[in-house]
This record gives sequence, structure tokens and C-alpha cells, in this order.
Amino acid sequence: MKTLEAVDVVVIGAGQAGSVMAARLAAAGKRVTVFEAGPARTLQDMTSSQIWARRLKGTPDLLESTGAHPLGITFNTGQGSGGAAAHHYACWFRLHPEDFDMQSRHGVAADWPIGYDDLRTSYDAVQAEVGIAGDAEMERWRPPGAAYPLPPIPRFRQGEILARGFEALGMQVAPLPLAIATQPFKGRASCVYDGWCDAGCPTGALANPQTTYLKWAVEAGAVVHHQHRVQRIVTDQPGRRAIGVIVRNGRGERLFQPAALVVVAGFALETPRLLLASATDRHPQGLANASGTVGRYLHTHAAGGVFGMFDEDTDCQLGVSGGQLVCQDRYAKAAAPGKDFIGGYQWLAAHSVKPNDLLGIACSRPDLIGEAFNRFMEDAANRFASMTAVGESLPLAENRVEFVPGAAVDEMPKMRVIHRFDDNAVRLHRHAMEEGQAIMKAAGAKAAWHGPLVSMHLLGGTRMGKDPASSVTDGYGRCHDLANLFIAGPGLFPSGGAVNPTFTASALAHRSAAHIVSAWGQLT
Amino acid sequence: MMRIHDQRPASPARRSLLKAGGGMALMGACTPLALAASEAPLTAGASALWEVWLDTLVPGAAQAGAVAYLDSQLRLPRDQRVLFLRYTDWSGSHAAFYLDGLAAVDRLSRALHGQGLLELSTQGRLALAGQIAAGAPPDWQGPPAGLFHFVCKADGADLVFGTERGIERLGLAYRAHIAPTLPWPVVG
Repeated sequence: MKTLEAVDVVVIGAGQAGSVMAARLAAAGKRVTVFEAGPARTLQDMTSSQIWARRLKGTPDLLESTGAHPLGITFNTGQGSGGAAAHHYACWFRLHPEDFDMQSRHGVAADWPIGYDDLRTSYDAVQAEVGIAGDAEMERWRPPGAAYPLPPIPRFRQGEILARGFEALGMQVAPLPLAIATQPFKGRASCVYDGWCDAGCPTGALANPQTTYLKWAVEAGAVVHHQHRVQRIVTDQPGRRAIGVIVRNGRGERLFQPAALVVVAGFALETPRLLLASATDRHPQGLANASGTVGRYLHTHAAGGVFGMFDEDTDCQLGVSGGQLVCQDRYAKAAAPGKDFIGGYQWLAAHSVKPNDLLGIACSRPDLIGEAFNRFMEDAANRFASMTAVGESLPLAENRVEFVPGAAVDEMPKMRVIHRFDDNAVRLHRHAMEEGQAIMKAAGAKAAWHGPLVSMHLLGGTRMGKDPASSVTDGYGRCHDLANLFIAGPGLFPSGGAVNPTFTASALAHRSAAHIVSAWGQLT
Repeated sequence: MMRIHDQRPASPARRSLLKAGGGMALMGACTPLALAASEAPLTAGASALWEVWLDTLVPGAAQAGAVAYLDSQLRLPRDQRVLFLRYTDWSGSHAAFYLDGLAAVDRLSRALHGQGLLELSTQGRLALAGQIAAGAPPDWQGPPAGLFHFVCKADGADLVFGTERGIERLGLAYRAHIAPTLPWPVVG
């Protein structure tokens, strides 16, 4: 096996968190190599089509997603430049302070090893670098932090209509905070609100990694190798330090890349897969897995769509995929009269929708076929409205990534993912769907209906914690078992609150990179 | 404070510029596709069943290219396919999903109505589709009936309402940043 020239840092994965790490570490003068399993994609590869866009999504080595409530893996993942963030919706929220203490406050999930105050400056730093559009004053729920650097997204007709519904029920809405340029920002053009975010934004307005951190990583000197699958992390003889990785390139050659420090940023499935595949005599359960929790506590957000048909035009094709409005009036955690579940949810309202695809108009009515379906589509094309409840679900140890036996010796085993929602999440979904239909009706919908309980975002699998007996990493993402092995991404989350995770994953990576730079001597 | 934005955004010159880049994207996308991992193309019998089945679920699907679509996707390597089935994380053969499902539809039609799918009236086909959508048709042997119905219906919606022509048929501007030069990917 050929040995490559040693580098300071190997980053595994060119998605959002890996790109933040690579950019920050390269900017600090480290020699950084990024290995990405998927293909190189530029902005010009992002075709405006919900059909073509499916090529951005998926995890090819997933063999099966199963359990009582199988996770939607393909929709929530992606490989290649930018990873899943290449097709993300740029809904960038901060977790709330109470999200970090769910065990000590409510006796569920697990506490984070850090609190909101530990992450606040990193949120602010990422926000300043990327540019987030919003209205901090209107978000009465927003944790403390710097004001948004960009003005909020304009409100189109659908947003105006749905705001009526929330306000009629005494609920507050605010412009949805988005990592989307609403005016020119650091050389990026402003959004034109055509609603192709899900297909990958080629304009540069949406802050996908190709536009931000991955681009900056390359500009700072990081070297990115696509179609390079890291198959194993290699440790020293005592098993206390990573010394590099074995990677298979696009020609099928296996190479050894020595490195002083390794960052695994393969998202919630590929990261535990790699750790499990890197088992040694010293780490027989898999690397960094003395706790036995690698691959476990995988969780998601309990989500559901609510839909409405109006007599008036909604211009529902305009805007951005993530939505125009947010409401976090239902974020409170404790169960209460009329609230038979722990944990909260938020509403993302007034999505820009396309006629087809998983979140499009057509899939809102799977019951209709034939001419009745076609008439519905014609009626709904410009008189439809939608919103999504993003709800908290409790991480369960039984929800996991595991290997499927049968791989060849020099191949990584494929994955099986097992998941069920806790009963709490089922009750939350039921509650939110009833409320959502009431909001639609209050907004003037002539018909309101809702979709099933679905999974949204992938979290956990390599959770952080203070106790090495029950977690994989510390609060910086450093593995308890190895001094120079770090993990980045939402796989670190011990619990996920009820907000989209990309901003928090980015802030965590930003904080970890700063720590690596400042503690380089001790870590390496 | 929030701003009210009641105007459709103007089409800036940038949108046209990005459209011009679409040709480059297509060239890049089509050339490296390999045939190695493709599955068997549709037979004539399966094609006929597919066309009628999809047109039952979403009228217009046949004319929009139902057979060409499925055939082209099954010829692509699995990770390059854009079939709606991709979203379901279906672990088995894609071709078997469709072929077994179509065969099951036809068998059910004969069992319940005494005629194959192709011979049924429009009303008979709709009734059959409704029985499949309910999820537990008698003696069904194929992929889960409800899933098969849902996926095929979504494929039909892609073809009739999700292409440039389909969206414009609904009276909506397509508003592409980078316009697809083909409705769906094919082996280049």
C-alpha cells in the first residue's frame, strides 16, 4: 500500500461540518486534506428540477432502513461536494438554552456537556461569516446573540395569508431566519426567490458549502479529494492515537494517508460506520466505542406537513423551500394540561412548493388518482399553502446504525438503520397536526389536511457527553478514547431540540476548530 | 419588521446567465454514466402494463413518456437513477419492484374482475387502483401494495406535472436557474 506525504489534518467528509473544520484549520495554517466519498459537484451541476435533483441525495451503502418508523435516509442525506448541505433549505436556528439540559430539567434524553453560553460566540461568528437573514426582534423566542447581518426574506402572498391564521389564534410569527443572501453579501448575489433550494442553489445566494466553507477551505490551501472513500482510521500500537487513514481512491487503489490529527465528519450514518469499521485488538467494539454507544441514540425530528387549499391565489411557487415564517410559540418543553408530551415544536410556514416531489403539491394528496387528481393539481397550482411542524423526538439507545454481514475483506460493510419514534413524539405529532389544521382554517383555507409523521434531519449516533461511559466524545467533539480523533456534525447531538440542525453543527465545528488550533501541542 | 412583498420578483439577467450554464452541466452529467450496473430493460408486455397503469393513476403519463422514463432509468446505474422509488430507501432490485408490482396488478385484475388490466374499462382500472391503494388486496404477490401505488402515482406526477412542460401546463412559469435540457437523465 502506497503511503502519501503526511499532513497535519485529515478531514473525512466535505459536507457542512467537514467544510467548516477544513476552512478554519487551513486558515490557521494547518496542512489539511479532505477526503470525500462522493463526486465533485460545482454550482453548475445544480439543475433546476426536482427530478434531476434526486441525484444529490442518498447514501449508496445503506442496505436497509427499517424499524417501526424507518428513517427517510435518502431524502435527508447526500454524498459529494457539500454532502447533504448541498440540497439543504438553509433554515438556520440556534438551539434554545433548555435544549442542552433535557435530562436534568425534564428527566429525558441526555444533557449536553456544554451549554448555550459555551456555543453563543460560535453561533455569532458563523453567522457573521455566512450571513443570516432574519429579524431578531420579531423572534421573541430567540436566545441571546448578535443581530442578523442581513434583512429578512420578503413576505410573499402565501406568507401573508398564513400569517393571518397564526395571528387569528393569538400566535406570533417572524421571518424565518435563513442562511440566504437577501441582498448582496460578501460577493454573493441576492436570492431571486424561485424556490429551487431543494434542487441545490446554483446562484450563490443560499449558503451551501460550495458557496461558503468548502470554497473557503480550498482558498485557504486545503486539498479536497473526491471519490476517495476512507475505509479505516489507523491507530498507533497502544491504540491511544490516530496516525492516519486508509483511503480507497476512484481507481480502486488503497492508500495510507498519515496525519497528526483526524476529523471524522461523515454525518450521522457514515461516521459511526467508519468508527465501527476501524476496530482493532485494542478497540474490539470499534474505534472510540468503549462506551458501546457508537451508532446508537440515532434520532431525528418528528415532522409533519399541514396543507391548505384557498379560494384566493397564494403564489405558492414563490419564495424559498424552507418557508417564509417561523413560529416557536410551542417550543416549551414541559407537559401541561392540553399538552400530553414532553418537548416542543416549531412551525415553518409558507414553503415555496413545486407541483411534484416528496414535499410538492402532488404528494400531499396520495389518495387522489385519475382525473380527480389532475383537477386537484390544476386547482392547487396557485392556491395551495403548506407548513411543517418540526418536533422534538427523544433519542433511544435502540435506534442505531449497524453493519450488515457479508462484505469482502477489503470492503466496508454496508449499513442497516433501525428506528422507531418514541410514543411522546407520536403524541406531539398528533397535537401539532390538529393545531396546524386550525391555523389553516383560521387563515381562510376552504380545505385543510395533514400528512403522516415523518423523519426530518439525522442526529446522534456519536453523541457527546461528559461521561466516557455513556458518550463518544467530549464537548469539543474529541473522542474520549483517542487524543487526536475528532468528530464533527449533527451526529454529536445528545438531543436535537426542535430546530433545524445545520447552524448548530456549524457552530460546534467552528468551536472545535478553534480549540484544536489553540491546543494543537497537547493534542498532537 | 417584516416587509410585505406583493410583487413577483422580476426575472433578472442573472437567471438567463445561469440558464446558459445548463448546457455545460448537462455535458458534464451525461458523459461519465456507465451501463455496468444497469438492470434489464422493460419487455413489451411490461411496457404496455406500465403505460396503462400509470395513465390510470395520472392521466397524461403515457403521453408524457412513461415507458421511455422507466426504461431509461433502469438502464442507468442505480445511484444515477431519479425514480421516486429512490426516496423510499428500497433495498431490492428497482426493476423487480416495478415488474413484480405490475404483474401483481394484472393478476389482481384477473382475480377480481375476470380481465387483465389492459382489457379493463377506465372505471374498472380506477376501482382496481383503489383496491390496491387500500394496502391489502387479496392474494397480492409483489412489493407492498400501498407502497407500489404511492410510488407509481408519484412517478406519474413527476412526468405530468414535474417537467418544464408539466409545470407550464399548470400555468406557472418554470423559473429555472439552470434549466434541464432533458426532462430526466438518460444514459449519455
